[in-house]
Amino acid sequence: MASVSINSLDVAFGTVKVIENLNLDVEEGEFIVLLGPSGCGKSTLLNSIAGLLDIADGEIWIDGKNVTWEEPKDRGIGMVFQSYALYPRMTVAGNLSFGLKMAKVPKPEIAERIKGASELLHIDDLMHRRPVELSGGQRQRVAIGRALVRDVNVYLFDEPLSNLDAALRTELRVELKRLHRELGNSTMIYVTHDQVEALTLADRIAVMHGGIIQQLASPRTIYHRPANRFVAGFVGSPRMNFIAGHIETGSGDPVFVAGEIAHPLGDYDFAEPPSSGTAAELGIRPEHVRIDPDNGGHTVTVEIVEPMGAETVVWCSLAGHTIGLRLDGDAAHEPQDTLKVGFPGDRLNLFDRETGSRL
Amino acid sequence: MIMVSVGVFVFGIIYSVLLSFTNAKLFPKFNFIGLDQYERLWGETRWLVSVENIWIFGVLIIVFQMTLGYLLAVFIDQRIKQEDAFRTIFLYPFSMSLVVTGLVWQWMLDPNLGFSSAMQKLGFESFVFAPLVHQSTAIYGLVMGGVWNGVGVTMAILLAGLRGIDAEIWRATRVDGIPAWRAYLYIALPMIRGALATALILQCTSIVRVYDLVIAMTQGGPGIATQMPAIFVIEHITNRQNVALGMAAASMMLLPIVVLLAIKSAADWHAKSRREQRAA
Amino acid sequence: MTGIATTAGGIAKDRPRGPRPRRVTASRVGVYGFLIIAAIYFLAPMWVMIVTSLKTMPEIREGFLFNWPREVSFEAWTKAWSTACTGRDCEGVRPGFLNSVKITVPSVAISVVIAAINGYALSFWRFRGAQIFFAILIFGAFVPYQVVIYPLIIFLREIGLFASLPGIIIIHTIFGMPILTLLYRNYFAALPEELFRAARVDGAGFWSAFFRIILPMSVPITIVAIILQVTGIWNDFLFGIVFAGRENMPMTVQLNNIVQTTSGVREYNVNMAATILTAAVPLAVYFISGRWFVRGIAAGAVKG
Repeated sequence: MASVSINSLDVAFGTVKVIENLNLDVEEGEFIVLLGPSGCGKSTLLNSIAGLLDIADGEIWIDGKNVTWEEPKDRGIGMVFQSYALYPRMTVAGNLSFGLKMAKVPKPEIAERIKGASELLHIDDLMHRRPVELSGGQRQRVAIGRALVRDVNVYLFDEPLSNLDAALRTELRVELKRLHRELGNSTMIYVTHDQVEALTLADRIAVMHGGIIQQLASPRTIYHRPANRFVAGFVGSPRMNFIAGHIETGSGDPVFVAGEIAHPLGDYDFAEPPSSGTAAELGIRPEHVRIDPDNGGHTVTVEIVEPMGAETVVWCSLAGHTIGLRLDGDAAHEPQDTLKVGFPGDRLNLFDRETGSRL
Repeated sequence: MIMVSVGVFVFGIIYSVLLSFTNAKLFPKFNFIGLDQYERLWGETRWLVSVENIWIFGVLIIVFQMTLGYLLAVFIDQRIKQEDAFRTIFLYPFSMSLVVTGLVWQWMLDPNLGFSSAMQKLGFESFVFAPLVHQSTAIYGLVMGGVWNGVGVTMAILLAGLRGIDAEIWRATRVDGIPAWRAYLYIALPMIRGALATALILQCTSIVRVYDLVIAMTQGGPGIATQMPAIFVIEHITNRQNVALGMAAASMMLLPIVVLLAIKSAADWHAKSRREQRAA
Repeated sequence: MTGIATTAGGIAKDRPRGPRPRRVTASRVGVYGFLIIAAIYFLAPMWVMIVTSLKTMPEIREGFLFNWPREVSFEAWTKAWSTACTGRDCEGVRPGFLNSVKITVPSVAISVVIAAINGYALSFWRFRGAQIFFAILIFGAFVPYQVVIYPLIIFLREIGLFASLPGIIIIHTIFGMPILTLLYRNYFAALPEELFRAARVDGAGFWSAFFRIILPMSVPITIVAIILQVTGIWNDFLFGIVFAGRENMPMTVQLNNIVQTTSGVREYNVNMAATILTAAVPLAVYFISGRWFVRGIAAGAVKG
């Protein structure tokens, strides 16, 4: 049984439909990340699940209960916010216990739950401080703690790490993953625009754009077999190289043609046999471009070299297209060098230029 | 010009305070007689009544404006469709002069013309609500007028404060299941301390200055029941021709403002040094 | 849609779906009830004033305070405007209106211009002693007027401007200065400092930077300042009665004299018409400026 189910959800702000006919099933114990650029509807979706905004149509089920009309507090969820949203004039202990007191949880149980959560999050010695006296990382731990003490099965995270600096973000990211494992079968729904967070944390990622889930799959699939042009372009940094052209089928293997570039597609795994003349876009990630002096298919000219320490990104021109290559940190190339490169067939992505979907 | 302005305040205050130690009558003469004027001042019934009145008036105004102002702000904050209309209605009295306010409420509370007689005409024969005619209640009539004029400002400032609270705090309270009234009382109220302080300072300055309202509403009467320090000072400068006594009273009026500002700067200094301590 | 119903087990149609049904809850009724009662408290006096000013004296004596007049009469309004008596003379509030215009227009213009330049100078040059200077300004904004009125009377007498139009204009300018300067300075201080630096790098002097860069950016704050000053000066009573002199009594003083005069019968309809006339200018400013007015108050409240 799904832990969270969203059935044909519509959300509108005034007359503008932000989300239209969205369906999503989240399994129990799953860590699902809603990933997308700002304005894609991911936070709207999360707030709809929480019951914090009015939906126009559809149903929301949590733990087998139809909660579409329930108040947020009755939905069996805990939520962590981007700005932490701690109650500023209360101590950490006050922040953790206020909701429980309101729900008339008996005092010994409140104490026990707070003890459990604070030990899990290493905030037990901060109990008598107020939020202003805490660092950003500590505040976010308290905010997570406030969600944990609710003792529910579903936790919602709305960009919880985006207000933190890079080092803390990495640290808390690891901690969140550990937390998810230690809590066992807790479902987590996590909104972010940071693809690294999405790829490292998620069991499954839902990439969103324009209020629609573009692809719902494991991080591995999202990265290596993006379902459409948007997902391919959004996930990955530096981003995937794209070359616009069309497909020609003749006597032999289909060939991708773009001006003077012709690339055979013999070992590409087509979803269905392509028809000749299909306007298509070829995509290949920078780390998958091979330098192959002997049997490289294309000749490129180096334009800009960006050494980044662990790796070097080399930007080249290929018949008027700019192609990025991700090479070893010690790769030594100079502008104006010419290189022979190859595009391994099993690393290629082809998208229909009209529909954007994977061919 | 600004130098003139600053000069006026600095020298004017020094001048006034100095005069309060003299026996000047109609014209300023610096013939120092020490604290005699203060001694006289605190022996005058008129002044004692004025001081008592300003305390009663002040405390009541602050209590009513704060509670009513916050209530109005909270109720307007409930996603009311006609929000702008209500806000306009609550605030318009403030745009009018206190003279106008005073006259309006003088009529509203007039036993032969106003609310009281209207209720009697409607059949409530024994209904009497005319605080201004009795010495013991006139001050409460002033409070009614004052609150009517000024509560909209408190409402507007506190509402701005409420609107400044991060929307995620409200979301957190809904997820936590905290009832709205508790959220407003225990979470929002402590968060808008800045707005509360601003409203309080504004109220205090207008309370100390209160003059037009009383002149228009009661002329300080009945008897001397609604005398105020501000009236006392002006009277002694103009009609009573006892400048030095008036200046002694004026210097006393300065005191609460000085104390208030001292408390505020002490609080600022304390906060600053605490911040620095944490930074160190 | 039907597909979903089957996946969830084909439960009855009326199960929760779509937006929460809007019920008229008790708390909602309470909210509106409270707001409406409050609105009545605020509006009732104005209503009474308007209907009373349109009634005749016999009808007023009947005592139905809130009723709309049986017969609408504007007689009281014309009388209030041009022939009502103050005890001294019988010219209505008209001379007071003209005096208030003569006082308000130059006072507002002078004080706003000077304050804008002052505020600009204070943010352009961060000079030593600025802290103390501001402390005095803030103090000046809060000091009870009574403390400095007497020295000012002496001062104006010495320069021969006591009880004259220029005298009262000077008074309003002086008392407007602290709050307006703070207003402008806070506004300019919120502008990025780079703006001033860039102007200097581009070779703009003190005045050319002011007119070319700062002034065009100061329109909003100037509107706020003008609203603050127009209502403040128009509504002033104390300075008018002390400093303006008999010939220049502003409208508020004139109104008070008309209403409080003890000679003759009290004509409530005339008095209320005169009161509405006196309140008309600031009310018009308020209703036209809308949210700007609120901004003015908040700005006037000086975050010290």
